[in-house]
Amino acid sequence: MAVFFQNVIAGLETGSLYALAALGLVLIFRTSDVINFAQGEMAMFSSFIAYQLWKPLGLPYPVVFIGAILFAILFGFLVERIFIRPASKASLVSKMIITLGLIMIINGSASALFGIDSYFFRKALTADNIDVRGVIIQPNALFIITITIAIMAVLFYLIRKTMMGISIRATAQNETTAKLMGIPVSRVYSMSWIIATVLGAIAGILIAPTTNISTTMMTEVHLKSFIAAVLGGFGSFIGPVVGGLIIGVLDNLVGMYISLTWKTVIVYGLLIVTLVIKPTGLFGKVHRKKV
Amino acid sequence: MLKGKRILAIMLSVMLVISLAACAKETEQASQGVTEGTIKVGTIGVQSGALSFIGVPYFAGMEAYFNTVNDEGGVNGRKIELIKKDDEFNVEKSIAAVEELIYDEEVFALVGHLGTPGIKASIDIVKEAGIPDVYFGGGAEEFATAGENFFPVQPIYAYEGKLMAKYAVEEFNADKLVVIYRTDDVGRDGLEGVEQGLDALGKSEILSEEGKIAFNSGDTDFTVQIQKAKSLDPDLVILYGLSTGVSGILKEAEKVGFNVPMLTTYSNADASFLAVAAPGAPNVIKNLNVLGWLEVTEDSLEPLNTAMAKYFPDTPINAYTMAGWVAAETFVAGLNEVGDNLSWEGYIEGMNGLQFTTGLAPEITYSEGVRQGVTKMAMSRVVQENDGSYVFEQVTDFKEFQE
Repeated sequence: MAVFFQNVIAGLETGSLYALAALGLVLIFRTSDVINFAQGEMAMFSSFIAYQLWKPLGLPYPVVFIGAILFAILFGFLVERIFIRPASKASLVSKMIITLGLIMIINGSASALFGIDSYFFRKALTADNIDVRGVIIQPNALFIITITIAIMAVLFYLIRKTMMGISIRATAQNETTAKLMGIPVSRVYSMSWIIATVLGAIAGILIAPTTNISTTMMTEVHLKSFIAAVLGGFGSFIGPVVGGLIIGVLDNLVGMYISLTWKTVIVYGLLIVTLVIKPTGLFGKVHRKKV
Repeated sequence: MLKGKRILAIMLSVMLVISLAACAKETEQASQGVTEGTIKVGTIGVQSGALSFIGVPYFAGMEAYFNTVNDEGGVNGRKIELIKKDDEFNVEKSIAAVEELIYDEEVFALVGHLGTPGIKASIDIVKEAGIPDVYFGGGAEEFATAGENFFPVQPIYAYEGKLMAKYAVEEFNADKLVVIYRTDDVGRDGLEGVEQGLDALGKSEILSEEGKIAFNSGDTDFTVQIQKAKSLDPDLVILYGLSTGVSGILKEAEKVGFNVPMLTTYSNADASFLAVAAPGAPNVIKNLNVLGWLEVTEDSLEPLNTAMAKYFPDTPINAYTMAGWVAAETFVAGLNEVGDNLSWEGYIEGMNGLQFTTGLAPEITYSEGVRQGVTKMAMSRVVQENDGSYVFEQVTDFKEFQE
């Protein structure tokens, strides 16, 4: 039984990281219908900033974390201002292609600025592991799971209960009407890109101790976060979190009890079956327009 | 009339002699890519994009060696001109680059083609052309059997797997073995080699089916692999995969206190691997051993360090740099062997008698039909120095696997 729980807890930890990255994707999608394919690369860049603050500058971890978040705020703001806003009149496909181009720009810049090697990065919490009847639990894993649920709850609250949330929902529904209602649409877009970049940065910093810091560190995580968002449903903030956790846990349980070699095929086969049965994702809703 | 016939006969005879002379000259002529003063060679591999961290130091090492040779007057008075093609680790681009180098650039030889998928995909093209192809930045088994114009240098993964089996039995006295392998050509070839090696040693029973544990290249969670390995209580765990995956496995082993002797591939025998793996697994790493095929000492590295400082001062010196250096070193050793007989056939014939022992690798030899590359490897273990850093320390002599 200890082995089962060991796998579940590790799956929840990894799944939380997919969920964090997925929340950023969903936020941008809900505001502007754009899927940000560069979310993973933006997270990677912010993680490199965290590394620069930690190792070469030798700053304490809390300062590193806050520094990377501050950078992510600026980074998200600049990306939206420089690359996305000038194309506000372009089609959705064009905007998504811009985010594909951003992958190249950000990856190339990271290689040029930070080099092409991998670097070790420390965990957020380095306290001793807890042994609960043979199940080894890392305090860092609990921190990751807690921070993910907390961020999900805050986002849920912001969207449902605050003026900012109403602005985001209104902008997502109809940009022109939102403008006519006095909503600063540009600011809403800017805000959603900033929050999404911060979420990506947190995911990157937290997963770096596992993947190491490198220009390829987010490749797999980004892909799985995308799948988590699709599985949970792009229309909600609970969906991607549940989707991420399901992928993380299922990956481990199928690998442990069925087959490691066929794990990927089985897990993603099951996910496709789920989407065939419920195309909008587990928590997605079908929006019907009234005629 | 008779006089006319005689003139015609003389003219025909002269033409025949000229033709024969031309033909004779043709057979003595050097192959494409060779002039009085230069030998043009081509290389292909990733030089931009996400995987450029492999190609950049690798090609710098290769170019540093050629630059050194050129600065010292070249080989038999000919300078080596290197044409590099970036395939961005893309198979199609790799194939196109091979064709371009052989047929458009008309190089004399291909040296140090990097990236197993691209090399494997272009084997038929190189085989058909008959051009010498020296050193592959990969260790797939096909390289050893591709043909007489192929000269692999770095150990074939399947061969290394056999040698790992030998070390498992003779050095670790393992009665129970676990192999955690990556599900790609690297890991599968390595596992197959271990199985073949154990079979040849009559020790197949020490590796059970449950002991063959897979992981994927993009995996970030290694809980399952370590839980499975731990449940088998092995004497030795062989980790057959590349840096990121193996460092993740070590971190997971550290987390759950699974500290048994481990042995990994030469691909991880590099300081850059220790830099990312050791801080996350400070105890488990001290139980890690690695096979190596390069004789890395201060003296043996001196020429490389000097050349890199001169030509590429900003490029890191790591295992990739050394690999690129050895690729160039082996090609030049072949040139020295053949002297002025610079035809493809001449070069292949010369390489068949090569016994090169003065480079970074302990010994590189080829003979007709034998293309195993380097076969002597030594084992090193990870030790912690007084300043807290981790280094590899060679603990065995160079050994071969003999069936």
